Amino acid sequence: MKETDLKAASPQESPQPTEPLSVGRKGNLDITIKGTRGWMGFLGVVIIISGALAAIFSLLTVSASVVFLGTSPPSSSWILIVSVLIYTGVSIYLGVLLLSSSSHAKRYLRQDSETELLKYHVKMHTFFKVIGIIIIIGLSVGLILIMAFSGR
Amino acid sequence: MQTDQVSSTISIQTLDEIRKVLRKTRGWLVFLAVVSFGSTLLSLVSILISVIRGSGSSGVLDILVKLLFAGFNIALAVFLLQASQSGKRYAESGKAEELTTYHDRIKTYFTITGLLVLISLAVAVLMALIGSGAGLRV
Repeated sequence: MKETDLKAASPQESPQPTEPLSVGRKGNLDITIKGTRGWMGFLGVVIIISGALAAIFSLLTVSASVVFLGTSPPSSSWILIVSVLIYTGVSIYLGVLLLSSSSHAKRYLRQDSETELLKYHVKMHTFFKVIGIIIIIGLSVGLILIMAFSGR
Repeated sequence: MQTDQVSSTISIQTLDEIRKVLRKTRGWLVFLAVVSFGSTLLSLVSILISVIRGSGSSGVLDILVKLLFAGFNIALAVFLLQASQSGKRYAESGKAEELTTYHDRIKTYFTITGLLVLISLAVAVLMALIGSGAGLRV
């Protein structure tokens, strides 16, 4: 998401004036963000590694039949490869989003930069949005498959 | 004390931008929480059916682990809902307290998720070690 999209929102949407953040509250916020960013980074790394491992194992599974049995991979293998590659791509994207959110939080805490704090929120928003969209796509595909197979 | 009440350490303009972001994020948080509740409910129904049928494949330990994960899922969904409500209140009222509450809930959500991933990884490694040990003995 671009920051310009966020700035484009009409000012009428926030009628109440924004309360200033006191030093004490900002201290609490900083401690909370510090606690969050570590777990975000960890989850980002785990998600990227799981995606990469899925890709490696699926390629090994398919290539094993070619190398050891000397047969061409069945058509179902291509479905497996494509679905695993999609899974890998999405995993890497989500992992990168989490890592980038975590690094924005780190830079905010180090430099006390407001831009970094805003970027941290934007990345987190994108992360939750992407997960939501993936769930919607997954539910739709599941529903279509159920309808297709129940119609047989 | 007075200075602490009045001075803003982050500019109002940035806080306004954060309000706009949170307004957009909260809808997705609610959606994720609802999906999480729904999936947990389905898994609980499947556990109940397997218990009623008395299928031998699922032991007591298996059911307990499934119930434990269902409990964690519900807790995660509750934290997401609470975060979304705080985000909504902050977007509407602009009260600083709501922003810190939102971040508290998000932190708890990521902490629990991270701990669950750590436990799952540890269990997977343990199972692999036990499995390879049993395989070597045979």
